[in-house]
Amino acid sequence: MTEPILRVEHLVKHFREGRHTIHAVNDVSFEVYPGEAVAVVGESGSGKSTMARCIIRLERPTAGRIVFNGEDITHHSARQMRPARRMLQMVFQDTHESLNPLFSVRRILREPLILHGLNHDKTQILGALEKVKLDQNHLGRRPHQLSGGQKQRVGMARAMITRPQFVVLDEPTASLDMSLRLQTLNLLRELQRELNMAYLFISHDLSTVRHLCDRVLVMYLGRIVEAGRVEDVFDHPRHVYTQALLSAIPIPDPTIQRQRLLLSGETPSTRQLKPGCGLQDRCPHVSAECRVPIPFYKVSDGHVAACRLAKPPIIEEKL
Amino acid sequence: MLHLLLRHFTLLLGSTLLIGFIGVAWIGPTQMKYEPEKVSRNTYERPSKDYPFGTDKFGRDIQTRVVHATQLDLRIAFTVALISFAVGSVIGAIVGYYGDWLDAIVMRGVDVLFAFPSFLLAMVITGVLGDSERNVITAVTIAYIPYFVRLTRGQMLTVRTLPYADAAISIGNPSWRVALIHLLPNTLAPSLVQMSMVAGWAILDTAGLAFLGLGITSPTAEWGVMISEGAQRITTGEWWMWLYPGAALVLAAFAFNLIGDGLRNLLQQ
Repeated sequence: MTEPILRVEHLVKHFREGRHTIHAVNDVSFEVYPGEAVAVVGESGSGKSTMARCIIRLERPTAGRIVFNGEDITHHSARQMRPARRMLQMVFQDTHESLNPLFSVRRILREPLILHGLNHDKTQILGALEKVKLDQNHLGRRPHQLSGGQKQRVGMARAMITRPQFVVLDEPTASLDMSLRLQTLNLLRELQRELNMAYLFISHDLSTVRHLCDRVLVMYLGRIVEAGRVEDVFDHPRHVYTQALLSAIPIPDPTIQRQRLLLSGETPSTRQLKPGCGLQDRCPHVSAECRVPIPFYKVSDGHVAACRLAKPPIIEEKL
Repeated sequence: MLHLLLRHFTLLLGSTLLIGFIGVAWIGPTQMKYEPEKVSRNTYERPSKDYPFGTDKFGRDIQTRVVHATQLDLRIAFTVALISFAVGSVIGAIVGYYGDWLDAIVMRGVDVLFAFPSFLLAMVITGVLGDSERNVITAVTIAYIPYFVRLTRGQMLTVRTLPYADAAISIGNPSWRVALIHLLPNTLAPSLVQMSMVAGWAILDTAGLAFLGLGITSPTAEWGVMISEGAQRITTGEWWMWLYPGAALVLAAFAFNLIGDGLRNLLQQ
């Protein structure tokens, strides 16, 4: 068994907001293995981005442990984090704002190489540009002279130029139009194969997840509610929330009729969390079991769901 | 073309004036027939062919003195603006980026400095340091550093939350590089406006201090010194003694203010 490249154990992140506490991430544990693409899906406000920011240590976790490459980075200071950042990179959601407006593409790409003491020849930079389908004509340009798709690819090149083992992709396609999305996803897949990186792909766009990822974690209210291989989770969702999420994907074929699972009510506030399932006030199948903390039930190999409906029948267990 | 000219009229007028002043400061002193501090027997001469701006009570040529003073006053203005900008912005950037207790301490200090009018502050510092060009520059610079600290800190609080600040950290920049190399340059536009304003104020302050007998003192050719000498003769009719240095001072301060206003308009678009 290979060692995981990233191990997140009982991660908790709370924010203070005046007299209230925002429970952004609540006891999240998972592992990512080398070369694997893991998706994190969930609606806006489910804590996906906060979790990602904790993992690359832009935020200090409230509790829990983050182990990257065998090194516990949970409490690293900014200075202690720096060597690890070569192997742990991030592509940001906002393509337009994530590049320094005063830096040329050349400078943006050269900086990580210099910072980590790597060879920063022009050939290295050109090589990275080529990988994201840009060329030397773009070297001297500033971000405002690039299109949205080009900016995103520069952001990708910047994250991957140090040949990291692990890249967090925070909704990399969210600010791109449809025609660019597929192109970007294909590029990401190509790069992953070529550089053998592990991805943590954060998205609320489930169709892109199926396209790119091996495993998926479904998050709701800062908790993981279901996890498993993409085919297992998407084809046989067991948690009611996952089922609702999946039934919301539009199918580009008007002849197909589908029953939508609509949840009643609003997503509850993250200021006060009830024990038990986050969906307890909205779920049509709610029972007393849902009001106490729910363990993960194994659905199949590697597929778990924190829902009483995923509980195996007792008879089966005896056999 | 015309509407561009009109829209940036203030900037254009200001820069034209300033370029004129710089020209005078640069080549003027070599073109003068007289020495700025050389006394002669022709005291209180009216403006004439020999003395275009007249002479003062020691028979010194006012034109020569105004021209030499231009060089001195501009030099002081630029030095003050540059140093207070450089020091103030770096302090503001660091304070704004790290925040926390550092921010609290430094900003309270800045508040204390702001409590005094900058001219009063400059006066006290010059009084303590003693009279010399260098001490005037030091005093006026210290008086204006808080302006840049506050301005840059405020800008920094905005830009440090932008995604490219996170990106700079995530690729492995040490925090000083994030603050000074990535973020500080993106906060500088308003400081440019402030710099121009401060240059204008610095000229007024220098002249004001000199008028009161502080900093640059007689017999040095300096606008404030000359205005002070002219003021003593204001009731006896030697108007040329205060008019020419006074006009030069007003125009120079005006030029910097116009540039500041023009830049602000330009940057707001």
